Amino acid sequence: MTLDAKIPSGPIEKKWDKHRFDLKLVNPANKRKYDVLVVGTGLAGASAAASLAELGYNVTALCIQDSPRRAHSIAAQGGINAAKNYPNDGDSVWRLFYDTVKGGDYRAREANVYRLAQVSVNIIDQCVAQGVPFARDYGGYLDNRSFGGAQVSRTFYARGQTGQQLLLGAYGALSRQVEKGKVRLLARREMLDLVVVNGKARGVIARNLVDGKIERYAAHAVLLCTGGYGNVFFLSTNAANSNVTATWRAHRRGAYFANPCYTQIHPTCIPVAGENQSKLTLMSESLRNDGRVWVPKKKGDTRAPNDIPDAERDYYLERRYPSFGNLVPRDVASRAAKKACDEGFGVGPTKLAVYLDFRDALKRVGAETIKEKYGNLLDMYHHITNEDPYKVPMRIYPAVHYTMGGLWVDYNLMSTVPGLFVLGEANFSDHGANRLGASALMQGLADGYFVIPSTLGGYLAAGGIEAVGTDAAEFSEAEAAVNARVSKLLAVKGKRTTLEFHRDLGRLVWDHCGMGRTEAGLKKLLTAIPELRERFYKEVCVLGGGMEFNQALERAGRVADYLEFAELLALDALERRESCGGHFREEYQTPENEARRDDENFAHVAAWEFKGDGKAPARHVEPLSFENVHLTQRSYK
Amino acid sequence: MTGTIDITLKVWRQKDAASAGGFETYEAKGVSTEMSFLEMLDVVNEDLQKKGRDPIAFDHDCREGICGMCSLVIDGRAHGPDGGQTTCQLHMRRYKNNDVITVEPFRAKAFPLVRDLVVDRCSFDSIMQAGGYVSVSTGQAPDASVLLIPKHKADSAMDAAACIGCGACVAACPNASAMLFVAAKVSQLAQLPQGGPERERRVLNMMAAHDEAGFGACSNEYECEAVCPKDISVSHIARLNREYLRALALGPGEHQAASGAG
Amino acid sequence: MNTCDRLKNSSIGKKQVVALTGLALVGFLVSHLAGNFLMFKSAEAFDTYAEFLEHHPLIIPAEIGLAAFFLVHIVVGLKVFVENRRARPTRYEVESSTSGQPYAARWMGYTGSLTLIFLIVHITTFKFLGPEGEGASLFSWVMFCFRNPLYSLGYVGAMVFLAIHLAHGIKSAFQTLGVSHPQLTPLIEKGGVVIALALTAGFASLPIWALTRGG
Repeated sequence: MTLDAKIPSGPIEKKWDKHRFDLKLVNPANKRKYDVLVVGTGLAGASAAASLAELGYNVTALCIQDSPRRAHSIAAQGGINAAKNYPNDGDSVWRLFYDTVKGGDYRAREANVYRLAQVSVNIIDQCVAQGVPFARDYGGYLDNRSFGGAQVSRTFYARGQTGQQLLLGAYGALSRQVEKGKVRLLARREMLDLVVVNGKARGVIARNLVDGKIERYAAHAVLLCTGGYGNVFFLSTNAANSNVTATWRAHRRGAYFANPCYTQIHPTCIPVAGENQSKLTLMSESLRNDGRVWVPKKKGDTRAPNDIPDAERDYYLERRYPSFGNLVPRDVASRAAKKACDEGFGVGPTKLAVYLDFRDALKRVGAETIKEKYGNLLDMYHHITNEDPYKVPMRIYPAVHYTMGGLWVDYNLMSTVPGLFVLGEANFSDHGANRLGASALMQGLADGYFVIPSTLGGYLAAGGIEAVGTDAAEFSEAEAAVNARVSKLLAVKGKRTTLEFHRDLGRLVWDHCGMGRTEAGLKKLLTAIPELRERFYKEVCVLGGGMEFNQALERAGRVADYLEFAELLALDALERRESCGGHFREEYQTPENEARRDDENFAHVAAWEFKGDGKAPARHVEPLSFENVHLTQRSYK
Repeated sequence: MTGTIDITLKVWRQKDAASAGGFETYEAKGVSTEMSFLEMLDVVNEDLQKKGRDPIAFDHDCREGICGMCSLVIDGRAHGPDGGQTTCQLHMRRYKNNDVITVEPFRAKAFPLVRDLVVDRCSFDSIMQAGGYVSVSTGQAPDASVLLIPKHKADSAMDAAACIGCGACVAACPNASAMLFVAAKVSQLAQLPQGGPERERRVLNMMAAHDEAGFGACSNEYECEAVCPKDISVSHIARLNREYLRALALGPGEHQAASGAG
Repeated sequence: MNTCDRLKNSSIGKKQVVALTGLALVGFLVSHLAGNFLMFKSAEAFDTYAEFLEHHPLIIPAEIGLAAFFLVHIVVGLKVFVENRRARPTRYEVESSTSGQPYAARWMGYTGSLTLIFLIVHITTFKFLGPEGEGASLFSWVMFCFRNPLYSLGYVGAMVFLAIHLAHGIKSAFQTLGVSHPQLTPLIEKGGVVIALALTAGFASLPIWALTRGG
């Protein structure tokens, strides 16, 4: 199978308009004849479900939590980018496009990114109309802040809760369609398999998490909006329920998995404090607008931070990257922090932390202003660490945050399984090898509000989708497979808990496929993962039954899939013999320790095809051509 | 700063809505004070599973205080003793050696129990579906800068919009009323011009859904405000009351009359 | 549902009915107390006033109206109280208050009910019992009753319950009617308590005065 991204011809500014004109339309009266299944109700899923229902499609939305309002999009703090150029500082669609491609270390598809930048302006309009309370100035106009990887202020924000407010906007739109009877919303449902009939995605098998019943859902098209796979690292900023199962199961049914090695390590998280820590907490990148990152100049300096005079502090980001300073992109900032700690300049009890200091900003603008901008974040830090960031510099360290890789999709957001569309973080398309801050919200909503309503119609209108009910043999086969997996997990009756296996896996993946990756480490990982998987199926302990509310069983299924997925992640990292964005291979770096790309051999998307259990997956390549952006060594100096 | 403590937990266990429930006691030894409350429960659950006993079911997700998934009434207080935070943000450093901690689920007729400490809060979704939004379809929006909203109004709307829908207000209210939850959304949209066209209809329908779900009436005891993790003020409830009176006076508007809803 | 149904059936509507009738009843209490204070002036002043009220042509409609306010306040208030208890079928093992609000709020149903019992006794005593006909002095009858320490004690006790009821009731009514203002609300909250205490002190002063006045 060749990977055809279906990028429309013509100049980049015209591609999307031209494409929308070329796509076939579904007659308004016919839309209600189509059933669409949306799995996941975060920004991408909720916005897609609402927008499609508004158009007239019959939508069924599955949500893993008890309400769509809890999807992990809610935790995004800092903001959402849009090329509005309200501050008059030289922004444009072109600049947002350019920054995003460059920020992604030239590993994203130009056409997708341009479209993203184009619709970014509509997203802000839409959200304001929904009543999202974005920050405003005294004149009543919208306020902007700056974010990493950009030299313009294009980030719209709602205090430190932008993701929450945008999600609640989309949730509101979704709720409105539920009320109208156009969306059937099913909470506490977890997709456990994709059903493919005659080569097309026609439904899913889901488990009702309340009573354990395995349920079948059929539709004319399936949209996966199930987020990223950051929890393969066990400790990440992701929510506990975030998992790879939906995308992994789709992958096993034929959807190619693209660039799994592109994982983003966020530079500003609260450092790990103890053995039993269950998650890492992000401190928004927006803090780097006013906070200054530093370590002591002297190795192993144990003085209290406020006792270290300026002359003995190394503001290493400002020193190394004078033009971007503290606002370098995430991958750069994370590696710089790791380097400082690796060299022995780390601070705090574990020495795996650097300071993020608000002292100067507090002096310059006062505590009130800082509180207004970041109050809830600083309070959150205070709650967790028991240290007051208004008095003592915060300690931060990088942590896994976002995954740029995901299911391969074409320009229409359709995967290699016809009828299976993938939106938001679950797909791979727009961020290349590194995502810029405040772009995830933009992409999730772009996909859901503005892209899928056009492209799904094109797929459905093209025809050839015969009637399929949940009584089809393929549904029975998939349901039987799900039941078999559940029984298998319950039958092991071992002595080790799922959590222990997850923690083991996380440690392995973080050590060998985290911020720095080497060939030797990855090879070691590739032997260690199958061993751990084998142990898992011999020793895991999952109590209770399948037909009941059983959180241990839920987790076991997810960890089982991570144990398979992690191998693909390691393999992709091994095969990509270059450094780019979030993928840093120690062997490939510049003398200044920056990522060294190999555009000659790796300016492509690696999309993996599942070939069966115990068989090596096949690596397919979608070459990336850059006609509008000039490939350069990324520099933020 | 770091230390360990021994604690005794009294936890409500109930297999499902149909079964009878009761308290069970667990000893947790050597709990690190750096752990969060939920991490402490993780450790207790690990221990239970190793002994072949079912782990305690409790809801949680983001573990950073924003998703609203975690719940629990700890020693009689929703989200624990401190107020202004969620259970996932509560840390064991708050407790002393040999403390006995009673953990119960959120109790309300409108929040039926699912298992152990897990309850079903979909009645909140029903309230939102009744009108907790601005009826704007994708693509209809004018340019964002057309609408000018004074900073203090945007800020006050944001204060209300910060609600995470956790249900602590209901859990803490002696009447299991969800007025603070409804007020948060009504107040947000009542203060913004976007919410204007549906103003009367929204408050009437959301309150009808509130009552329908079996939540009680507000008796102004302000327990909700005291436990709200986002410090949402009861002044928003006053605004909700005002909006309700206003809607009673003005009527729900033609739209609703035509659709026969309400 | 129309406006009337909403007032009758919705949780806020019912509360607003209770709040409005409650505030009106506070108004009545103020005027009632003013009348009572005539006892301090002289027996004649009080009896003349009682006479005047009794023979006023509007007294019957006024009493019906007042009774209606009481009835609505009591019936709807108790309905809300019962419904509120039903909203939490399973109580908590550990009950606590986080708000720091006094329990007055939680006891509204009880303090209200006790006040109702008082009301029945009170109306029976001073409206239906006592001397009838020409020359009968309400003043003497009141003094007679109040000089019974048991009656006075019950009266003063009821006034304490009324104070607890009003201490929460007045400020609560304003909140329920949507009156909330950063500067005004603290004044209303304090004012409500002051009015509650003043009314109670005023009413209770009569039996105490009667008891201590001697002979």
